[in-house]
Amino acid sequence: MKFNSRDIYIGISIFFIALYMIAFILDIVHPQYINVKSLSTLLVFKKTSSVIPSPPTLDKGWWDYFGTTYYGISILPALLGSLKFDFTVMFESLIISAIAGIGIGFIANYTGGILRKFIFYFVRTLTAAPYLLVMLLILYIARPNQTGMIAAISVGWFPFYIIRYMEVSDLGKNSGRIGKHWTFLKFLPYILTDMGAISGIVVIITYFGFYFKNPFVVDIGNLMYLGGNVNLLLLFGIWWIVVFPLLFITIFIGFTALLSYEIRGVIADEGK
Amino acid sequence: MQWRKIIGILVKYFLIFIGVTIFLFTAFKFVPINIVKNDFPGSSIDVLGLHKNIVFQYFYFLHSLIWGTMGNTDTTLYTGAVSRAVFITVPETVLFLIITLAISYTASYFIGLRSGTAFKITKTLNMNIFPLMFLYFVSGLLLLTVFAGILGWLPSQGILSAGSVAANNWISSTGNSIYITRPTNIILIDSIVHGSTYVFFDYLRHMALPFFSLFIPTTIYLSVFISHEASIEYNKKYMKAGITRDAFADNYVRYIKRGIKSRILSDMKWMFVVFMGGMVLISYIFSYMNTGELAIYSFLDYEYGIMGGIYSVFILSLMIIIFDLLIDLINRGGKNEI
Repeated sequence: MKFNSRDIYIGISIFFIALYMIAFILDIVHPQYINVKSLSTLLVFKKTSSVIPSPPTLDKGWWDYFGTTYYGISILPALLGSLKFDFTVMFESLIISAIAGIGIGFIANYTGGILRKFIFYFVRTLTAAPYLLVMLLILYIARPNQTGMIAAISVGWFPFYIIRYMEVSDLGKNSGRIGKHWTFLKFLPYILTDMGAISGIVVIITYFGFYFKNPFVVDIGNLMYLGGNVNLLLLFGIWWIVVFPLLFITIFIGFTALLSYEIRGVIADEGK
Repeated sequence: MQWRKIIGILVKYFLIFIGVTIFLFTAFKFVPINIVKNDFPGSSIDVLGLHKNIVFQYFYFLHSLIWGTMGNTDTTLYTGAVSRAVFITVPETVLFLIITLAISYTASYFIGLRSGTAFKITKTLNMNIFPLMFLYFVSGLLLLTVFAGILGWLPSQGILSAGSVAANNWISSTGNSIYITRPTNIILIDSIVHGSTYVFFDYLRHMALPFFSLFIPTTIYLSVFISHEASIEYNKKYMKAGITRDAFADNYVRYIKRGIKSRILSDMKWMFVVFMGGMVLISYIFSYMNTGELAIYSFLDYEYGIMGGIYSVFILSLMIIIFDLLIDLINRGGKNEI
């Protein structure tokens, strides 16, 4: 049996994404795997009473492999625990925006005419503002909590699915290949990319230090923002409070993007 | 015929402009009235026509947006009239946008077409689908960590150092890190007008990290895209004709450039929206004086920020609409989006 480079890339990507998914599921059903009882606050990862971060070390057990951040919170277990919040928001936002976007896109293409034009202008209106700020505006209105965040990201993201559906549908009509299977295949790469992209958005929004009721919400962006002193801490050479969380989420986003790219290639090859 | 097309484009963007104002008005109507009253004390709330029918309220709101009567703001960044805060930051925002986008665009064409590897790097297209917004986040934080934190070569935040502000009476501070400079309110130009090399280089030092944080991801994205489009164009036009000469040896590049121009311009519109989002993000990370930074700080302050936030989003949206309008006017022969 021969493997080409594409198979290897797909295999590696699936392996890493699966690791993140396993951690996410364990966060929900059995958080004790990271030696904590619950994931209600970042303070459960508090290793020392010192507010000053301590550097990464391999000598004091796995909790200290990535060092500690503000309030003595261990970074590595906190990162693993953060997947519960980040991926929950990501999956729910993704599902809502995909269903809403595809639904509206379907109506636009099915009815055509003036309604299609109206929907086009609706989409262009929503994408005429930086979507990050649209999300913050919605988050302001919906109030900063998990539901508000899901609403904000869904509103900011669903116009992209409307456009994608319209494009995919038009492409299908032109090539005479429209069908549920074909449409699903065309959407699969988008969904994979969005898993990473929306996770990134969740991290970015929480990095802003949005006024959550719980200032210690267990999330990667909040872990980096904690205390709002990132720039000051970096000036003292405390690099690990940013580099490890960034690396942790970038690996996930990178592999979802890679998997999406390779699957796109597989679909294109099958088309030929 | 040309005029009809131009009028069609103008009508399209006018409708999008109206759509944006309706969206902002809808969002504004969800804000509790006691919060709105914070920004419009006493009788000043009358400018919003809140005692009128909701349809008329929209026109009052539109009038306020156009004339900048958006009340006051009191955030970490600025205290005072919303319109003043926005108009102080807009010149710097526009300058930063133009400099960064123009240099990124030029560099992308250079890398995408002239590097000699242009037609061989489509395999790196996976960068093209890596979320651009997150690339901005990564580049911003990494550059901050390495060059401001570990190496300490460049300033980590702000647009000018305290020394520059204190030593020059043509620079005045209005808040935490918002500065007004005379006569143009663009620091780069004003430092040349006043012959202050210290402020000039101080400004460039502060600009370096935000600039590269935007420049690197944008250039990666655009150059890969240009290379990909050029490769398709080359295969379509020249490979089929059996021409096997070196594409870089003569005028092929010029013809390819002409061939891909329309598609590149169309994509630039979508890229610009993400680019603006990136600029907002970068300005927050580096506390770089900017309308985007003002917008974020406004939304972060629940009690006194909403009108500042809405007006900043409106101004940034206006920039996007004008950019898209210009692109469509230049690219009149391109595909009709509708």
